[in-house]
Amino acid sequence: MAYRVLIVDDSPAMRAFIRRVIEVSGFDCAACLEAGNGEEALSVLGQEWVDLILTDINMPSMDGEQFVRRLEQDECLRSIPVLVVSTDSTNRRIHHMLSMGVKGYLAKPFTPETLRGELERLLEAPHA
Amino acid sequence: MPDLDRARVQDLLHQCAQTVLETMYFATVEGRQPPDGGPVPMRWVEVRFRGDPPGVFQIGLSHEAALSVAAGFMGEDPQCPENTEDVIRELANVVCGAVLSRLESDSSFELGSPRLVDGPMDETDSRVARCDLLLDCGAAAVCLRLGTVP
Repeated sequence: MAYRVLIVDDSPAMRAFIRRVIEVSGFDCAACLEAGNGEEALSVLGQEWVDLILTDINMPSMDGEQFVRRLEQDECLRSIPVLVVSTDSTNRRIHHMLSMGVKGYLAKPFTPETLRGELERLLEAPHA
Repeated sequence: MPDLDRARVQDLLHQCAQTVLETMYFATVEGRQPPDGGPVPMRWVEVRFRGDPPGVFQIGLSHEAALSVAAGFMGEDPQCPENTEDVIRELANVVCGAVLSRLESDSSFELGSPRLVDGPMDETDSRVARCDLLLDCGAAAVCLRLGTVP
């Protein structure tokens, strides 16, 4: 099964990096959609279905925490697993985001192998 | 103004910059010293942050290093990397976050948007720690000032 992934990060370079890591890791990805903040991501999700969301926290307009809160309030969108990908790896932030319902937390910097492992864990879909 | 253990913070700057550069930007840190021949011009990016304590973080890259790490990050030809400024802003964001996560692991912080600035902060300031790094692709320097930002 090929998955549809939404990458939410205000840095176009980081979005491109994550997309490239997903592509070269061999992860079965049918589409990588992108958004620059939570507001844009909700707009994308209004038109497209995705299997997994990767989101940064520190973003303008609507940050990652506000975005996750909006997802959790939506009966349809709350079922999509969310992986936070953030520079903030303080215990307080990680526990707070996990308590909000996100399924994983990946601190930057990360290796391609770590990202792939997290994607597979969240989707419970091991790949060769 | 918080006390700054300069040696400890310099070690932290070194470790975090090395980890980030080698993990995501495919650059190798060869040592902790300025390049032979004295200071080289650098492109500086600054990140201001709020937290306990607040402060300012800066990273500088020589022209060659900036092009090379941008190329490594984007997977492009080092002679013509696109979005070099965006890449080095993100580099500053990631290194700053890594430093603060270790420095303030039980508290929280909020990063401002990375922005290009003209030059490094005044390292004679007692609140400033600076670490110079020699990369396989040029030179870099990382600075941190703890304390209220004017």
